[in-house]
Amino acid sequence: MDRIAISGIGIVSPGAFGREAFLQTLAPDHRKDPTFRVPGFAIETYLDDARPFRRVADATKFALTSMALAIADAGFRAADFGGERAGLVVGVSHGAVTYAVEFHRTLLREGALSASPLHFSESVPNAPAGNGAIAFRIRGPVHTLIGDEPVGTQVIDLASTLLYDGCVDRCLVAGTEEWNEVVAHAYAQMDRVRRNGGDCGDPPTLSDGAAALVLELESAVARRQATPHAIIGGWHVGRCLVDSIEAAMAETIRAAFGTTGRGAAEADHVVSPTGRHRRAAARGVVAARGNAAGQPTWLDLLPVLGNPMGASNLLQIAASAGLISTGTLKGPGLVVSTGIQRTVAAAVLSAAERA
Amino acid sequence: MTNRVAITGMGIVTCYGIGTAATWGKILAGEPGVRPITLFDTTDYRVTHAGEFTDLPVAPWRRFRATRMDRASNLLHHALAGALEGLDGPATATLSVPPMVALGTTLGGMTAGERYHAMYVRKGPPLARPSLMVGHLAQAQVLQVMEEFSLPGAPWVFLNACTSSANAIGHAFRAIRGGRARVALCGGYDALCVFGFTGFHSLQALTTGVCRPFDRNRDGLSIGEGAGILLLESWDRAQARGAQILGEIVGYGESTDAFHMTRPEPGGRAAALAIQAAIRDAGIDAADVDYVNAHGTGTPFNDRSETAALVAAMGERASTIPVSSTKAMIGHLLGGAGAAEAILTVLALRDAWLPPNANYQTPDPDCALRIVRQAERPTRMRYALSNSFGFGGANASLAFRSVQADS
Repeated sequence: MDRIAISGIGIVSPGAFGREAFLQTLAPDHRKDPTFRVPGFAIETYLDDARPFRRVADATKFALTSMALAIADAGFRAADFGGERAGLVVGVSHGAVTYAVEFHRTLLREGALSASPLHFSESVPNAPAGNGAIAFRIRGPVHTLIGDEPVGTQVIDLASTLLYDGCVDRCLVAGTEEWNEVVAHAYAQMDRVRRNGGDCGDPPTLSDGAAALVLELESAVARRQATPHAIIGGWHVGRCLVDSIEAAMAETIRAAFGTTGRGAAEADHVVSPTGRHRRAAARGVVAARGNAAGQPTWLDLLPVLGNPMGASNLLQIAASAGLISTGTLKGPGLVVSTGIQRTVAAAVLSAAERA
Repeated sequence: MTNRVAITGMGIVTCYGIGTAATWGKILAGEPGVRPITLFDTTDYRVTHAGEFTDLPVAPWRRFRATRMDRASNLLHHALAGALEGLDGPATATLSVPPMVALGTTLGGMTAGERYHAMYVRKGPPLARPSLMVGHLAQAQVLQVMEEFSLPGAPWVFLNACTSSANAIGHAFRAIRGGRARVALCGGYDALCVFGFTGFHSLQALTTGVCRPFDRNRDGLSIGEGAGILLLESWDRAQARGAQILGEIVGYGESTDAFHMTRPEPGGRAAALAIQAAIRDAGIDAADVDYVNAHGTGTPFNDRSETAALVAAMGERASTIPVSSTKAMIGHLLGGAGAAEAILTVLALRDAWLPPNANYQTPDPDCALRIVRQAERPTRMRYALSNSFGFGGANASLAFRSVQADS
């Protein structure tokens, strides 16, 4: 069966723009940015025609930039990527919430007639996807999926379905999130409650950023004589209804490996979650690996990225794919994610054969 | 693997009430459901009407405190209960497999988000209730009803503006047809809330009078609220368990304008691709389509663009095929629109009745379609389409087949 290949990676993170810069931030000696915020930048630097997007929300700006970087990284010209045979799937948690907050604040303080239509239309959660379709002329299926941190794996699941069903030849996937003081305050309130009430570990710091990947079938990448960064061999998304997070994570990891013909014990690295339930997720990984000899390399992106919720999972996957691509890690890599709403996800990445 | 996809359950909530009977009878009668809003104060607004479900009953929650469940969660609960009412027990046990859950919404938990932010602004940040922020995540309502109905697994929550639930249904349809799922609960929901109403108000997309889809004097849409859920199964499986088959989904097409965030592409070229794809996916010709439930919002831009799309996709047949939009009666359900209108399309096929396009008086040369003015009996009713278009240039079309077409 043709496998799902990652042929392009685009990153907008607090410390890096682009794949190579992002991988450098993962080095142990790299100086971390304690603010976890993406610095201001000019979107014109990354888009051929940025005029329609000058007033978009940050979540959209991050997404568009990461998409442009991923398309270029995959070897496509931005003008050639789109069309009816191209798709786009975006995952978000809160999305362009700053515009939504501004819209609602104006409504509360000045009344309905003062509320800006721009702050409404650009705050809808599918604004990054809608603008992405416009920017890259994507006329095939374009979707936005909402979820907590593991939504990135679900985005890959949907894109893979579109590729396998023959609906598209190439599919851009992205996750994006913007920091907002109201949302950050709410999560800080919750974490205070939890700290007082029991063990929750260190609450992750909300942050912002975006990741985009170009996905194609492995055979399609080979036809255009390109080399994928990595293969996504298996994935699974589950939800912890009554089980412990640990048990749900272990089961999800086994399901993700189920279609790869390999086992969790073979993973040479694990990318741990940036969201809540991190300790339970780690115990789930250990349980899924059983009595495997040796220890995998554990990558913790939290000190690098903070927790950019809807973007976090694809940033994790991009990290694993990038490190496999450069030969820094051999693979298979296991990327695990846990969400505030007790969703769990696992994805298995492996090296691609060189063209 | 290619399975036929049967619809074996349908639950709908609109401004008319709960259940297919409550809505369908009033739709056929052309009864106006858009009335003055009671949910919030509209003094500051130019528009004061919506398709509100006044006195929406609180659902019989067992696992949650009913008083803490928001309006969207209650709409979803009622619709889901309706879709499952034909089963003799809990869904997962009766169906013997956990159903895939795919739902769409536009505003999701905005009511919770509004409440949190109002507390934040008016009482000060420390007094805002943080659990409301988790409720603001648009999948919160879906997770609540899944827990309530003991549905395991992770849901698919599509947020493609007004095509959200059509996309959710299309996704579930493809999963069952392709053998990736055996049973699915799919559809969508949205509740009337200040944020969404004000948003469309600020865009000047709302009519200050009555919503008149495809009419020359149309000047905007009416917001509605509600939910629709369909229970889908493979045809063989539904027959094997003796389920009553209400209809069949036979095709799904989707495309994107890549034109503008809020305005449809005037020529309707991308929307036509979605319509053509649904027809092709169903293995039929435009001549086989006996009815189109149009997106028909009643805005000048949408209806002109949709007409162009139908003409581009169906050629001469577009001018003779019966077309109606039900939004004039129940309002635009946003993320729930695709699901509610899919259900109305299935009911039209089941009963061989065409629902009317209420308030249509003056034909528009730019919308030269055969608009259904009053409920009517068609001469033939085998296949029907339901169109959904949305912000971000999203287009989706679903094709349905009458069960009677088999006989």
